[in-house]
Amino acid sequence: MRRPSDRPEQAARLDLLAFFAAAGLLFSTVEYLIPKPIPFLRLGLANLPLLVGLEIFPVPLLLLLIVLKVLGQGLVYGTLFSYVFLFSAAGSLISGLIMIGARRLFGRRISLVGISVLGALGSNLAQLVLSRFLVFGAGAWLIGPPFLAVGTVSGFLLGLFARRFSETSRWLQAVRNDLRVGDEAGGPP
Amino acid sequence: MKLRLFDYIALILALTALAVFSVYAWSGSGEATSVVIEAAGGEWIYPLDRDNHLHVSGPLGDTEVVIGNGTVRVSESPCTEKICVATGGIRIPGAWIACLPNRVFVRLAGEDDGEVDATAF
Repeated sequence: MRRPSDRPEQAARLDLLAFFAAAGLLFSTVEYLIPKPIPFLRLGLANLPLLVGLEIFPVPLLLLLIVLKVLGQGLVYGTLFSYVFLFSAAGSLISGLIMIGARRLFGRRISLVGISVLGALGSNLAQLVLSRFLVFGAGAWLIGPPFLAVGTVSGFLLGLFARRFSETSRWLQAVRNDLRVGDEAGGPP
Repeated sequence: MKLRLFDYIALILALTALAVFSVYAWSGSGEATSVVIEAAGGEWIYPLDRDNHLHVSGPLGDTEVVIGNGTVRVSESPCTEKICVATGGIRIPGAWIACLPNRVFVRLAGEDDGEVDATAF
């Protein structure tokens, strides 16, 4: 595999982003294959590349990653042109923005665990509000408690895993080093 | 792995939201009195206190709705996922069961919820 530092800075980052997006597609597929007795038991596995990518990519690329994640999920789930897609897209977008914002706002005082929990909360609340006002009416709130409970737990576990991975993965460390070398060699940040 | 300050704050926030929703959703606004069924072919209202076995037709076929023991549930449906059947029985006003593929929507209306001027059954 070509090492990122062999190529111009910008292209290297895009390469890496494409890889992260592809990983997101893989996770979406894995999650799709898991049998779900209840429809809203979403694990949010596809958020892992986004969580890990938070400390690697600049904001514009993170936004691109969110879009790619949403499109990937829509393709895998076959919902790309349905209203369900709008719910999921809105949730992912808001969740992603919250995660980016939380990182900027709280810096060292928050870790990927808290970021993931906040992201899950944002996504779930957004979807609840949308379903209340666009589809189901007042009855939509009834699904709130189990939905939020599952989301908080999965967000927490995902955050734990992402943080552990980020701290101990040697592959990720090599990626970070390569990017830093590329930065020092000159070129756009 | 030690959790940081805002990790805890995030968790507290999430649990607070969960608590708020739980209180709001389960505070039970009165008793449910009628079952409202909306489908592609029309809208019907049935009393919750009379046992009934209904066939609601939609684009995929007939969804069977059973009213009994103060609850309503979907006993059978031509959809592939059968989420509507798995939902089981509902009895709280405002609760609903939906079969999206077959476009059937069943909900419970009570005293505080959806005033109906007249019913026919």
